[in-house]
Amino acid sequence: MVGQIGPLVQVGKKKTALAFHVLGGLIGGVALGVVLGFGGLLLRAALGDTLNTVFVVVVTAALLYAASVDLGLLRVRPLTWERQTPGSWPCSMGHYPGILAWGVDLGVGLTTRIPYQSLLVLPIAAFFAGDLATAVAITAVYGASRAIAVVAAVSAAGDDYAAACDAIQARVLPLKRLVGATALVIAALIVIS
Amino acid sequence: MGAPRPGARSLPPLVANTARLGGLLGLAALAGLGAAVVVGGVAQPAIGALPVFVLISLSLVVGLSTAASP
Repeated sequence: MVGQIGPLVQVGKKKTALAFHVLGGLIGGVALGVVLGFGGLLLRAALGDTLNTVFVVVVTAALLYAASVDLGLLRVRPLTWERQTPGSWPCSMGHYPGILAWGVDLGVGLTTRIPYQSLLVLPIAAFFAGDLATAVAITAVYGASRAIAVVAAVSAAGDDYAAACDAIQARVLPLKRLVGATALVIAALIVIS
Repeated sequence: MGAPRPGARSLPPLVANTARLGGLLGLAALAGLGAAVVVGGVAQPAIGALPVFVLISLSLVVGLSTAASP
């Protein structure tokens, strides 16, 4: 994404383009949270307080699976698909709408390649929380922070986006381990809470 | 862009970029944790404030770690 957005932001106003991308990420995250939140409300209406127990069991199990895969302890084929954000959107939709749409697509999180298995825990937790505000907060923070990470990388890259991509790729494995360790700690915190 | 202020020192590009990167990520982290505190504390979710807080923290960590993904 950095390699695609980077050169594009030099066509128009850089800050405006990046702001559109962050707005898109937020919109994508909020949209997914609203859908999952309403689904969770229906589930809470059906199960009542039993959903709290279901939440702890399901989310803890998902966190343990995700942490094991991301930490490299469990060697299974990761759950993912290969779809990527279409590079043609800025051409077909226009410059800023295309960058906004990229943000929405990435902010949803589930429509493109899943880089970390811990990402899958977020929609699961948002759904089983059975609370609209919680669901929206979980997914919106993900959508916005993913877009902000792109903004930070583009801003720090200067004009050498290829080198920035290489630098990011070199950090993918340590970041994966960091995410896996975080998931493990969070699983423990949810169990003891 | 006007002329630099008298006496102002320009930072090397690497330091300036790193500072900008750190600042942006720090602001994002603060905003995310602020959202976690608001939702966990004010909305009083049925699953409890701590699980909400830690899951939003996970969202933040996963989101900020995925800049390289397509």
